[in-house]
Amino acid sequence: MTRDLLVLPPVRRALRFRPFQFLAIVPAALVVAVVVASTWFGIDHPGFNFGTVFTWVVWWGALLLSFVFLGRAWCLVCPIGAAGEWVQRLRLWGRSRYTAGLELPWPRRLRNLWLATGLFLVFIWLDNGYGMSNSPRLTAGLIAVLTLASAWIGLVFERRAFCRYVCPLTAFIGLNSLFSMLELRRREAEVCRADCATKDCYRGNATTYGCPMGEFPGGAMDTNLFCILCTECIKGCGHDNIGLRLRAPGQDLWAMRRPRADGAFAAVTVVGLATLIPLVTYAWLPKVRGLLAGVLPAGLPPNDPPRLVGVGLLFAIGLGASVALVYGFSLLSRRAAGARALPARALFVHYAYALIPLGLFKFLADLLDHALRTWGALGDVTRALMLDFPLNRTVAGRVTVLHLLGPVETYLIQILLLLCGLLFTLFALHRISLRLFDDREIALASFLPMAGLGVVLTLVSLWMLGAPLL
Amino acid sequence: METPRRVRHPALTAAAALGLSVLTGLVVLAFLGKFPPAPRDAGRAGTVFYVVAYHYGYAFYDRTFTEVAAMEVKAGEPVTLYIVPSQALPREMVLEYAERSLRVPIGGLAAGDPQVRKKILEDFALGNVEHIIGITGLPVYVTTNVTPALNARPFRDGGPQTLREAVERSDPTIKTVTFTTKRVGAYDVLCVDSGMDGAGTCGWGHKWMVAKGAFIVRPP
Amino acid sequence: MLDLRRPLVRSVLLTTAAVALLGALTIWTVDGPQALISASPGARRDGVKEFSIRVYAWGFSPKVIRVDPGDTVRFRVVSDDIQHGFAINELGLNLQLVSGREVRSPDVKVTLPPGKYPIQCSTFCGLGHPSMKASLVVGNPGPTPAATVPWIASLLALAAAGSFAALAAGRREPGP
Repeated sequence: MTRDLLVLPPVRRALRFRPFQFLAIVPAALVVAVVVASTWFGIDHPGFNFGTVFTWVVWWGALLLSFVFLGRAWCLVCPIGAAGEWVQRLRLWGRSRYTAGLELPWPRRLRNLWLATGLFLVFIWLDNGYGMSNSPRLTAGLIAVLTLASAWIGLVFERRAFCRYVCPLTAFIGLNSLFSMLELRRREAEVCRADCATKDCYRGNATTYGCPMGEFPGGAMDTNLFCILCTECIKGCGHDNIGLRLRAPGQDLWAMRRPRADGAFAAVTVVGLATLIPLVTYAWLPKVRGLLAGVLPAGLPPNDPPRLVGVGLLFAIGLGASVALVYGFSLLSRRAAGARALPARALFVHYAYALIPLGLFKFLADLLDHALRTWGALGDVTRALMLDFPLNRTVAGRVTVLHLLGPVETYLIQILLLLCGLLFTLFALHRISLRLFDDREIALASFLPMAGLGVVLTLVSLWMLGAPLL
Repeated sequence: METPRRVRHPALTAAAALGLSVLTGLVVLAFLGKFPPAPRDAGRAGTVFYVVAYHYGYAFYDRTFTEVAAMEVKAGEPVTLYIVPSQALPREMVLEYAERSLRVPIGGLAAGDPQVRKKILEDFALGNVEHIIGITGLPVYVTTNVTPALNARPFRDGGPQTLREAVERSDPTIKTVTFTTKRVGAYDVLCVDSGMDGAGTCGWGHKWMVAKGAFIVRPP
Repeated sequence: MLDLRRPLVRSVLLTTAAVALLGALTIWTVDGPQALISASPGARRDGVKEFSIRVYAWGFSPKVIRVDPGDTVRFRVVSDDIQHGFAINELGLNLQLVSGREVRSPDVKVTLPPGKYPIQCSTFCGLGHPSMKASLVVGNPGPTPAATVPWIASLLALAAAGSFAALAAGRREPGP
């Protein structure tokens, strides 16, 4: 059930147009420039500053929605990644003869998602601890630090090493993109294997670059995990053998021939962040902080050690609980399936990816609530930005508080979203079980405990969101 | 990850490294608060007004410390505002300013209603003494910080005795903002920070702390 | 009938036990006795019930505030960390909080009918902001229709999963 968009002439022309990606980046770069100006110079209040409201409501929301429909489309237009690439390539879109970069290979031991997952957790901890997304100045700082990191890493290492291995969002974006309805893949495997000697999609040629993410579209690339839709391979393939296809959502979740442990752990981290970590923080932060206040000196918030350490501790506990829960159900799955089953660790690695829709739809449910309550503020900050463009130092007056839906109606829609996520997860788990086991009864026996895990995580989300109605 | 080699250009690499180093240095300095450098003479530029923010209103003074009903400037002219929280001044002055709130109806209570005085004193006792002054549509958003000078008491001991003294001594509780505006019109001065009917950092009367049209920009 | 040597039987029993246990634990954590930490009104000055609340990323402490219809109430709210909001729409309250500084609300008369009303954070404070909610309970509302919705949703989730499993078990065609 796929439809190749590249058979449509306008799409083909656009994506083979050399400056395509640059033209897509320009508007995003302009908006980010306005955001940086607004957050650095503008009003230092998150509810009045255009930069913070736009970034953490509009951009974050659009990002989540883009996972469903467009995969890693944000990465296509991201000016932060582009900064590293432009420094390296010395040109904005053409294939350059020279490079300013040292083009060192990325260290072998770091060629995985562990670093990126760790940085993602640090990013979330900073947000929770210091209110990074609550502060215009810290938001500006975050953008500045990431841009500089991308530029430096682009100068030293080859390709987009920052985007693939370092960006705090790469694991989050990549894993959620496995769900998307868009995929970029080779069309005929035989053409790549038998007819193509140069592998331009990976190596590049005189007029195009090889895949900046180091993927091999003509061979091993079988998921959206690292594909940023930059279209270099579409331009470079001399056999016109790359397709950009629409498909039913979620297919990559069970398509991985060799799922890796780092991705599985990252998937559990993302899902844990959506479910168990908020639960644990909700339940225990005041108590834990109270206990730590007896041991650590208090400070002026937000630089309050008992709270900062408490949050870090609860994050660690929540993450540990998530891993333990998924591993525990993997053990149940193995036990249920019988002695000939794979080790629990292997089941963990295979099944973890199927849990991604649970996290994605929980984030979408959160976004729904947030967008419905922040609609008025978005109008206010846009008016304020227009009054003092682009520095945003003014207020437009009092804050408009506009709730588009009441809490019960919002919760009903959230329930639908969460059940949607659960059904996608169940389907993915089922497909994986059928791939792992030839015997249908054993596959079902292996599937059921993991389905139970999906139900438990859905219950966590349902009750966390429904708590105020109780 | 073997790539067909482009030609390395050491000079370009060095130039890029230099440029990035400069940018990185600027960002670090910005974080430490040292960049961009603060103008040496932040005040006394162009027209000057002193704005005393009290519970729950404003008093405006011109350069000669004469009270004015509204601040008036010409478009294109730089103006400096000195924002002075009333709590920076001695107790008698604070209470004198606060009494002005009893001369007008406020918060659904009639002018002179003694409940207003009670609310004000409660706000003092609770430490709700800061204001966030904004002018709608103009680059003014100033947060006062008088709490450290109060030493956990409702009023200040040993501080400047008059507004003039506070300004001339460059009292640390005074914040300044300098800007130029080209748009003609009348702008509201308000205590920012809250939506709906909630109280802000100055307490009960925060919501009604608006001086409509108190900043007037005339044609040049 | 219950042949534990059969993988499917084992699987159903293990799954049911695990889901029941963890589901109950989840519900107890969110809605159990330790979760219903109520605010007790502090000093009644001039007949005004005063509540002290701490707000943090991402929650309120305490999570439940109980008042009677006709009460006049006042809230003294402080943020433990970053900027938050404390909003009760039905009372027309929206306090903006900055780090560590206590903000006092106006005195508000509660003219609401008995029921549960959400208290929400009204200033974006991070990724957990949408989860930041507490409850204002007016009178003795008893179980409200809204309070049953999480239970119904849980049953729906179980039903969805059960139906899917039954369908998967009933399929005759081989897998992919």
